Amino acid sequence: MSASLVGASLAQSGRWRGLVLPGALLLVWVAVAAGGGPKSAVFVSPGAVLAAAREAIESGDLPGAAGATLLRAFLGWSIGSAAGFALGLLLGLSAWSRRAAAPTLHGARQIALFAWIPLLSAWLGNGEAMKIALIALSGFFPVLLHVEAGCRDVPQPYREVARLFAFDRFGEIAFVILPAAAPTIISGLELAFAIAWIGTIGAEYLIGTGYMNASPDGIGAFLAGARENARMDLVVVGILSLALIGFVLDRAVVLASRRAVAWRRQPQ
Amino acid sequence: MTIAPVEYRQRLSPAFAWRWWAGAAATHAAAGLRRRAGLAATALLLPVLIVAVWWVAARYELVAPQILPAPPLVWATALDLIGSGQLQSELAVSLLRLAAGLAVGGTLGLLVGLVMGLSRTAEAYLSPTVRAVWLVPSLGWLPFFMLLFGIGEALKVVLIAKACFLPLMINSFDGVRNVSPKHREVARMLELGPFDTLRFVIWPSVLPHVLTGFRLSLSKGWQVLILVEMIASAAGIGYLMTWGRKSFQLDIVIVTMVLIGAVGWLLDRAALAVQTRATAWASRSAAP
Repeated sequence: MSASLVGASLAQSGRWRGLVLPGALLLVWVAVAAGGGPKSAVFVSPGAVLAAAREAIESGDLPGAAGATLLRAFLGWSIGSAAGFALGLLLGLSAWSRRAAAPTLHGARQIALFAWIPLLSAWLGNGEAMKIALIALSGFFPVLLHVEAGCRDVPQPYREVARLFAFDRFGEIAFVILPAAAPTIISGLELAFAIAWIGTIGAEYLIGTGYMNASPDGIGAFLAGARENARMDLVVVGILSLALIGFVLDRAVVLASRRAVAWRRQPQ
Repeated sequence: MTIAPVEYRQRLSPAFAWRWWAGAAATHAAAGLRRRAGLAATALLLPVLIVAVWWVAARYELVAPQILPAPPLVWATALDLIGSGQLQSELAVSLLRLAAGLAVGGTLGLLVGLVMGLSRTAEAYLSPTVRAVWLVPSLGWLPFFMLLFGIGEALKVVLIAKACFLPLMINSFDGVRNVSPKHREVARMLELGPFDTLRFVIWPSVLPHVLTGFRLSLSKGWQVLILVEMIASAAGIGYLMTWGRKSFQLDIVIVTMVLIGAVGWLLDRAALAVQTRATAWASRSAAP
């Protein structure tokens, strides 16, 4: 699509209005920078940010950090989701285990994610194991809750169908309960990924930087380092890349989950 | 994808119907009491088991005492921290920060949400920018704000306000957009002025949404508060926890963790109580 076409469609849809505010802010920023800018260490010009972005990308720092963060997020999310799925299935299918374990799990869930860091870091050290454990923990609870709710709330008629077909317990779970619970489970996985993404940034930011020594990598550590050196240009680059990756991930997850439960998309 | 709620299904079950029909209220109450006691006992099974394992592991030093303090030590530390008043004063600092951040961010979120809900023009101009800003988690903004505001009190309030803004904005926006057209028509028919429409028609239907947003904001704000206190603070409950970790006093860490969980839970319960009380009429009134 050519630029003029894009412009025409923007003008027609009225969506250009959303660009007014960011455009104005950008203009003010450029104008202030052109006028010399305030005498402050934290003010950076747009040019400096662009240069920093180029430098960070060309040196391989930023792509490397992004790759490490994504890998870590994915690994932690997989582990946490698997554990949450197994436990959620148990709680969703057995009323007794739900009565026994749910209050404890709900109690543990109340503790803010990052409040686990001091205790876990004493047990697991400040290395990769600790980071992965924290990310897994962040993804664990949403999956647990959604799988449990999904399995528990399978409509009674569905269960009756399973009885009609004389399914054994395994057949009932595999062919009736899990498919019926799939939309809920998938939204749990989605939510878990969004939380694990934040957990990853936090793990990288808080663990293995500052007084704790380990090999710091990932976008969180990139941001922490940029702040420590008072490099506002790199901080802005880090934030922009967080926004970009967050946006792309969100789209990808939504597309993937839409495809996974395509049959549920009938009008309600 | 809503599924018949449990109570509804129970009400349909023959056993329940029979009991209701027979009017065996007394036996029902006794059974309920016994059932509740049984539930509590089952629920306590796992915590008791965990504490028992913890106790044994600490007692026989299966794990180094530096990284697993014994339960009596943790209990003594808790009593000590409460007795000396330190726990209360740190908690007061934290709650005050939360209140300040919530007041600033929540009010702004409410206003922006209402304005965007009432005016489609405002929505068209503002919404993409707001969305873009909130694409980056609070944690990502932390280094930016730290360079901008230093690590003083302003940093905490700004970050908490940022976290509290979005839930209230989204929910009040949704609330305004979901006002039933029939209610608006009634307002038009009664020839209410714009202010009265807002006061008597829009606000009552927005209120439940606003309270939901408030509850979400509260829990988000509490989480961010702990985070910012762990990173940059010299007071507050998060600071106490990090301090305990740095000086390798894991008893303090465990006490503060439990406190963080308990306070988070209590705040949520309180918000829920306010919500149900303030909007009890909503569940009673007929659907629009």
